[in-house]
Amino acid sequence: MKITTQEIIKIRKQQVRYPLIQPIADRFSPRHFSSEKIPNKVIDSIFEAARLAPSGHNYQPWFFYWTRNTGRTFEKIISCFPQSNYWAKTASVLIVACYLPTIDGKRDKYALYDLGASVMSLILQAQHLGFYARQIGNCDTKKLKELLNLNKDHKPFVVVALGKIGDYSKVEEIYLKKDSQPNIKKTDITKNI
Amino acid sequence: MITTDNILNVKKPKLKAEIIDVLKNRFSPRVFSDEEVNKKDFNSIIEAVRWTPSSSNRQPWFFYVAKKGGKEFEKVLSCLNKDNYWAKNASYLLVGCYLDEDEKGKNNYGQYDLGQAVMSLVVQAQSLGYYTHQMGGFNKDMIKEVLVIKFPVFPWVVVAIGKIGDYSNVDQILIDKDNKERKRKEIISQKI
Repeated sequence: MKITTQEIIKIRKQQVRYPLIQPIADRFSPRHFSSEKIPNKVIDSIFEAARLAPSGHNYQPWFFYWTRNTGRTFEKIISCFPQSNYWAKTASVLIVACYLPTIDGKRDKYALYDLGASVMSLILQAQHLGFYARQIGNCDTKKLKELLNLNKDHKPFVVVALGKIGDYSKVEEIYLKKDSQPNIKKTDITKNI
Repeated sequence: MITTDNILNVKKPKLKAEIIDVLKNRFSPRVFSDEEVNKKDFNSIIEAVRWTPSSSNRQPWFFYVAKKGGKEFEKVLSCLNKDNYWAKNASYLLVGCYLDEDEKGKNNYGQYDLGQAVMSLVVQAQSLGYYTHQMGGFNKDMIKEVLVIKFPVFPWVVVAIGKIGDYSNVDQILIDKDNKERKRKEIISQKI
């Protein structure tokens, strides 16, 4: 099977029922990235988007550690992923997204929810600038915390792989298979009351 | 006297880097206008939720939609904390729920993924000129009972949606709360 990146983008193009803004309409989570460097300006913009996200009581219960795909830190993070996320080695940047479970000694019940909002902002900003993201949830967070020597108040929850989309004519068969499937979404997610 | 333009001005963030307009312009007002959200726009706002990423594509979210004037709008209002009384003017109140479990079993990403979904919704709404204000302050047991929401569906947030209202004619307490800049932590990331 040989498929170009353009064909993958076409397959993954969302069958939207109602118009959406470009970054939401174009976004999907690829398993293949290009080695192209993400400019510092882009990095600044995505974290600015994350910083301005709304949060319960404006607690802003998030913190992000990030690294480029050069050097030991990148390898350390990859080593915390399960085998199925082997594709992440092609990412240009990995971001360890952490939530802050307590604020002034009290538990913040909305920390995970708010981290989700913040990461979504970050991803939409990245997508707007032409960079794709795929999130990895099931990593060994205990190992991650130890290896990276993270602040004890920061709990890693997901890792965001970021980069330009890669050349799918040169991707491993297993990822080609996974990424050439259209995105299936639920149709009924609301109830009028 | 404070006008809506004054508030919009105060809420303009001092940016350290460029971001898209919808993120720049977004904030959570406590004053909404009577103007309705039109049906077409509302459909787009919900569509934005559908395309949100989620862990293993489980899409662990569900929304109860109460429209102002509709029969359950007052019931949703009655579950909100007193200081959220301003929500009565919103065009819609959405009760955002996460699904704690599905056919694959327990989902540890329900709250996180709901957070992403609501952010998508908020961004889409903002792009169409609507403002949103999320509330965690409501009686969750009461809303479960009133709307007959059962396990594994957990109401987690109520989202008020509408056009921003006229600040020149509102309670001083709302002006005091909203006439403040969007304060954020300076440092939220570190290169390692």
